[in-house]
Amino acid sequence: MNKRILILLGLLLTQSVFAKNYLDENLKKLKWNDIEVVWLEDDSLPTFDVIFYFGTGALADGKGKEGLTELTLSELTSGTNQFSQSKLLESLEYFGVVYGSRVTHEFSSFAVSGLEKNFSPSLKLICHAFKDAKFPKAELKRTKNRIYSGLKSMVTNQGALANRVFRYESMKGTGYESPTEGTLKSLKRIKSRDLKKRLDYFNNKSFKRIYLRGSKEVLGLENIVKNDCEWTQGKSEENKVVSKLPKPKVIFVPIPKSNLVQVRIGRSMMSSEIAERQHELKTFSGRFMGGGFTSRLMQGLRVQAGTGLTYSASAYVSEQRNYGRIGISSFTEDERLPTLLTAVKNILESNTQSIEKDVFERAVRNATGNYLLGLESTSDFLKNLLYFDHVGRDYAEIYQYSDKVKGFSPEQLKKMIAKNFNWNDQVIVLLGNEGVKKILSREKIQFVEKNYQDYL
Amino acid sequence: MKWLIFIIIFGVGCSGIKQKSPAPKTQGEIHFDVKEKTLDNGLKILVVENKKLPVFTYYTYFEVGSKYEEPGTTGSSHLLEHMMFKGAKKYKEGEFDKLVEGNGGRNNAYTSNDLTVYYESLPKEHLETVIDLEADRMQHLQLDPKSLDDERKVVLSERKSRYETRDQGKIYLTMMKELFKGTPYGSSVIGEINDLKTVSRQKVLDYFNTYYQPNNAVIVVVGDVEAKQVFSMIEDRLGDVETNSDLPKIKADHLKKLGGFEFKTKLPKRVYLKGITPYPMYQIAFKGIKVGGRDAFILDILSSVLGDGESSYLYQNLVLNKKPKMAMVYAANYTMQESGVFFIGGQLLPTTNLKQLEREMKKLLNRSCDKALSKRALQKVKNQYLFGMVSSLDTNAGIAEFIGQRQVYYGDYNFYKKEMDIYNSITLDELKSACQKYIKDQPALELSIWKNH
Repeated sequence: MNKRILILLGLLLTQSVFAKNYLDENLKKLKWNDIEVVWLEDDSLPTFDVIFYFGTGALADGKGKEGLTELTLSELTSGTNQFSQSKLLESLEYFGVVYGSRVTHEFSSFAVSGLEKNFSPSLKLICHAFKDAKFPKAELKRTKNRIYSGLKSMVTNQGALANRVFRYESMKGTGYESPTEGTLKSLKRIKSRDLKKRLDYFNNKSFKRIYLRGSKEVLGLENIVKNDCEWTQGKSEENKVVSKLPKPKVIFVPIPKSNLVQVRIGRSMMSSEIAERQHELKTFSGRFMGGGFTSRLMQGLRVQAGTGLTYSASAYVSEQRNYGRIGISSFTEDERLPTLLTAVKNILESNTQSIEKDVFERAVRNATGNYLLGLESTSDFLKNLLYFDHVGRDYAEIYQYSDKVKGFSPEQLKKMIAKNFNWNDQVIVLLGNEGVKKILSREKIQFVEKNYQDYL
Repeated sequence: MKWLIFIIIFGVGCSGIKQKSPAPKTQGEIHFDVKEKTLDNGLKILVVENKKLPVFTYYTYFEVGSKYEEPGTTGSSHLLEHMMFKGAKKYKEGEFDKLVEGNGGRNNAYTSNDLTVYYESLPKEHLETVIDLEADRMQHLQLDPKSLDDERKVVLSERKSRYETRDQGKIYLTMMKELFKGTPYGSSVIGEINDLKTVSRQKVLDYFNTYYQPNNAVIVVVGDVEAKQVFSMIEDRLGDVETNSDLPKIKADHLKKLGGFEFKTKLPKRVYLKGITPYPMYQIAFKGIKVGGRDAFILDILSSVLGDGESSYLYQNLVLNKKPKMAMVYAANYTMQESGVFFIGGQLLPTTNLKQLEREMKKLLNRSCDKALSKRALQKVKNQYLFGMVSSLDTNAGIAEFIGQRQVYYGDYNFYKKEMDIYNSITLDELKSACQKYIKDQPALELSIWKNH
């Protein structure tokens, strides 16, 4: 195991004044054609990870062409002037590499992993695709048909459908509400020329950063980036500021033949909330409420005697650069829905009033330990660095996390829960069969009914 | 690194795309420095010392799964898995999770047809706590009646979310029940609704007492630990636990009583399921074989050639070709300790007629024994497998699963060495023979699920 990584990761457990300096010295940052490169030297496995980061995300799709960025990156291997789709796919898979894109509203990334011995040929091929993809119309049409089919079939995956509806409704009007994969309507408008234009933008104008994990062998990527990708640095992009949030409401979406009600509760965060920082406390509040079996929601909804309201309950508070999301996710049987909603409300409110000392201390220990476990994989650590760079946070915060969390007080946590999970601010999305309407009306819960197909 | 030595195996030939020089072919092996101890009562302990981070992962494999459940008690293994977190003699209900999570760790478990597996990951200073927790629940599970009733509701809720509201889950459940009817694999791991509601506490307790024995368990610990200390702590708590030396015979007799594993379903058979999917999902299943034999490895490779990745045979012919019929397709060789199933499935596109797809699928599968199989396709899968194996070893949990699975399925944690040799040695001729033997013109179970059925 590379000593540098050992020490770096080991420092997560210590409060060391020297840690920051050591981190600065040992995590290598390079520059290739003005593109910043972050290299995590790690020879513990004969594998590599490469992530290409682009400062262009789904926000750049524009109104009416949502899904453009995601489609562009997923269709990179649909064919170039030199190679057909089947040839490209077969060659990449022959090398045993795993690759794929991830598109958020604020940024995009393209990741490639594989065996180190196949590093050079596979990355050359990827760069070739970036440079020369021609997005043949026939392949694009077939891809779109598959996506349409998948969207229309989403009714069979009610959890995913609930997430999709919830994203839209809880972020409506912020500019971040549309799904990055697009909708049935928007995808129809996207043509091959749009993908070429977007790719051209990625290659020549988009801000880039490269993340590498592997031995010194991965430094061979420099020549590939310069000669095969021919990338130079682009400009950073401003992201949309969120200054207004949708009003709290209850949305009910009927689904045929459902015997469970999917429940999503939450809200977006305004850019001003992100700017307040306190990132660790915010995520801690999400973890405290819904991360793990001892979280407040799991205890209250599943574990405690006489409940068994659900198999699963989770909560999160997550931030990007200019927006964030707060959410609770669960499901239950139709008749138990009012009980679950009441229970969630009571759990949220009671934890703004008082938090038992042992519960708090346990949650602190849980957060610090889990954070360490989450970095066990050096591939995951690389993704963490990408995130930190994207949101403009110092790497030092990674190893300072433990100390920060240990420094929180129950008072601070209560206030943060009150701020993030105020019941009166939440958008609630319920997805279930028609019969749920009667239950909501009986409980005098006012709701707006929507058609799930409007979200596809 | 002492504990792990990597040398590259599975030589990679040139890609079809011209390269300046081919990737070098080299030979070698993966090697773990596994420390092993078997206690007098049969409890096997495997330890891999890994000082990468001051954390460890602790796995316990119990060789009991749904195949041991009698009619009327289906789902007991999984229900018991849930109850293992609900209180024992020393650590009462709720304390297990509090101690693990409260000490910065995480834990979970899973149940399959063959096994029930528990695992925790924590900072290294909590090793003794974990051993204490595991020893307590292994011996003194309380099965509080009220907790049991609460947990039935949770499992029923899980059943709904994984299977009853998901057409994909329904088709899989039905495939297993139909193909393995009359055998111990014919009942679902999640259990039947009525059984979950009515299985008595006594029956669950009897099940626990029968199968949660030291000689039916393997413990695997990977991380910043000292093997000697691990052995000593576990022996201290579990060394004196009596075991039933007749358990292997009890298990074998019981499985025979439940029907044995010879396939009893008459094939071909066609099943139509009512679902909610607007476009049909289709699955075709062939009689497979159990884990361990050479053919099992060959069928693994065959399933990947047919349906793993976008360049796979079925994906190219059904999803990416000029007139696609499916939105997605997959192939899998699911091998269990006593039997297996080889299945292919996917989702039809809106314009595809189900009957036509059935004909097309069978035609493609029959042709695949010649058309799909080539030296390059074989090498491609070997390359993919190698990366898959190696990349899974990035964490303690990955390593623990890697050697733990080999121990319980092959009786030898080192089996991965033979396994890699076997995969590497599989020839094109063997692949073609297996295709002829298990797939081409073989009677199959076909299933589809659709809102219009």
